[in-house]
Amino acid sequence: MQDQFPGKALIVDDHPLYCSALAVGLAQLNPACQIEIAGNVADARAILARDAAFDLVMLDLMMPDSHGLSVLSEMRSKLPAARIVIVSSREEAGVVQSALSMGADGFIGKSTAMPELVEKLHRISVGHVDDPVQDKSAVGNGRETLAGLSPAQMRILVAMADGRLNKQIAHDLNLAEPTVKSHLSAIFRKLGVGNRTQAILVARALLPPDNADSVKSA
Amino acid sequence: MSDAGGQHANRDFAIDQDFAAKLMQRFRSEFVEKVTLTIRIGGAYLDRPTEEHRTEIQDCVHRLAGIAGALGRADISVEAGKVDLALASGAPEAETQLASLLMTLEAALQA
Repeated sequence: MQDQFPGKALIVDDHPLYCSALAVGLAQLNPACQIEIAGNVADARAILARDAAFDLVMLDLMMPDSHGLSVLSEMRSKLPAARIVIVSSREEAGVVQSALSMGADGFIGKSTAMPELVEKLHRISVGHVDDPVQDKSAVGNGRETLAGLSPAQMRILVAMADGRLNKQIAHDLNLAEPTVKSHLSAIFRKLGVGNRTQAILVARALLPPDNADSVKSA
Repeated sequence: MSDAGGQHANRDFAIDQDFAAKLMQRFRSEFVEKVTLTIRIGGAYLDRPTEEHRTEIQDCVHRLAGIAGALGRADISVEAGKVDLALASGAPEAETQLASLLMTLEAALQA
């Protein structure tokens, strides 16, 4: 256990200038912090293959060789005790909810000033959760996002979260399959997610209990 | 949040009050370089909105959105983030938003 946090940090971000600023920020928390920087997911995997003694990972979502969310669960399984914090310029409630649902300890928008970012990391380190899932405003924003879906899109989201395939949804709702696909694209865009799995995670977090019951059974 | 990592000891942490200013001072030249590049490439895209220029400017505004907030310019970060999304989704308002961002950046350079 490190006395100071972070003792050893891995920054996974393809923006060298942001990495440099973040490294200076981490040194505010612990001047003795050892920092490794990976400019892509492949480099991050290579670093973790030779050394998994990190207590903090700062992971950008938009990487050149992968979407950050797709490697989040991989990082979590390799570093079960580490704090994994997502940093992203995508700060929509849906994206935040997806990241936290997939095991991130925190989510910090890239519009956050570095001193504030450092304060947030400090709060995370001492267990004061900086958890937007528990943040009523974030959940409220998410619910507003759901309210932005049309009735047809809401029915499709619930059906999708219930495990229905596009063809089945089209049959159930008396729609053409291309129409369902078109609605799905709009749903992903409105929720700020990139795929079906992420949309279902958002639905789990945000749908009212009567709908959530059907989601959980999926 | 899980407590798998346990509690850490730097509870008496207090951030250097001049940290934000020092950070901007340290990275100012790189930031100005990025802003200047964005203005140049953004102008080229607005003059001639080709796919190649769109890819270039989207990369520029994405990177700008990433660093501006960290250096204390959340306004630029948020505005650049919106342009990034608009360009990525092919939204019709992307060019108007980009033009507005370029004006913000010009003002930032004057300041």
